[in-house]
Amino acid sequence: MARGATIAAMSPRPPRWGSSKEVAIRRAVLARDAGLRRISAVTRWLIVGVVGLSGALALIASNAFHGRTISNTSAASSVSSPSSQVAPSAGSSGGLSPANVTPTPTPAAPVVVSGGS
Amino acid sequence: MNAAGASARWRALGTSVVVITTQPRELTDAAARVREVLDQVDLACSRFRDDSELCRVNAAGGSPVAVSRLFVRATRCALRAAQLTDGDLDPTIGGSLRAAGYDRDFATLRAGGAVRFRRAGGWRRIELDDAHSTVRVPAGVELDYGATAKALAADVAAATAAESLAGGVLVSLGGDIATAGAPPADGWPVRVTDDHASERDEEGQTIALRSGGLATSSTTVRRWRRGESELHHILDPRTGEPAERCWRTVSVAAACCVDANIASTAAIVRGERAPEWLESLGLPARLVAVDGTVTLAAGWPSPPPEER
Repeated sequence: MARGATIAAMSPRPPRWGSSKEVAIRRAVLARDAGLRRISAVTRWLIVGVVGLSGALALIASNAFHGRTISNTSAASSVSSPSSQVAPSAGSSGGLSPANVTPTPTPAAPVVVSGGS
Repeated sequence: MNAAGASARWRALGTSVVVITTQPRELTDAAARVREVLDQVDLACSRFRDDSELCRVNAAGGSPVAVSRLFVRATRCALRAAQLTDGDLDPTIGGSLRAAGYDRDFATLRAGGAVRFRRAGGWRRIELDDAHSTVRVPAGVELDYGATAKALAADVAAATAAESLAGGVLVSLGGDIATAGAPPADGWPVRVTDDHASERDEEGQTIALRSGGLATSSTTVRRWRRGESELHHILDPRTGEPAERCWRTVSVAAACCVDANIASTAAIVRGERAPEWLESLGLPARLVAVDGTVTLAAGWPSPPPEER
């Protein structure tokens, strides 16, 4: 009997679900785990929602205020360095440029008239 | 045919066009190229064509509008003019012109009641996206490229025509003149006076132009009545009112017609400060005061005794 008693003592003790205290603990643990899972899920959805909403708001804002924040396309920047902005034809870059040859008086009959229009 | 070569004349951009080539046989080809350029500029920059790019930008309600490279160039040109004149020229003057009654092609303009002037929308509010070829102006702001587009058209037309010519070419759009190629031996003889539609012996001065461009701005033309006031088309962007009449006519010679036109128009707006400004830029100029007194600046030639 003594041997049998030893073997019995070394075997895992079967759960005793019947204990009302342990059942309460187990239920509490299960409830806690379920709560944590719900919180985790809600948190994930919140993150997804915030990211999506941010993107949507950014899109709306970019449409509503297009161009205002693109500094390199504003008028001010377009003309801040005329030499890099204006086509390379005569006088179209930098400041106003004098002609290569200054006009001179002439006795010839005019071929065209320059005046207000 | 004249001493400088052969000429063709017609109307476009609401004004008269003159094309002269030193080689008479090259006139037809040069005129055809000029016509093509003027058609393109009209379609891009006219304030009086509903299908123009400028009207589309004005009507876009603040949205960016995809435009042609020519319109991008015209916009850069107008913005440069505004920058170089500290806003004496402002491409957002369209609303001011409309408020002052200049709201249709000048040929169809009629007298009307008194007006309430409106300052320009502000050229710094124009958004030009060069990379994507878009232009945007805030809702309510109206562009008008009248101060630069005609001169730009003259420059582009002359340069385009000259590409296929052996000789030289002169293009005049309402008296705003661009030259390209080899000029006549004695230069292009040009009469400078108040109105480009005047006879060639009208009071003024004849000069020889050998390179670049020449432009004349005047308050004696494009005038109309509103209420008790007689208005003219050169408005001060800061007030939206016609510029004070210090000078009735200013002519400027420069490296190109655009620069000449920017300087001549800004000089009208600047008033008394104009001669000093033109001197500082080295731009030869002839300024005629309201009373007819002539002031010459930066090496503009003195007239011969018989023209004084």
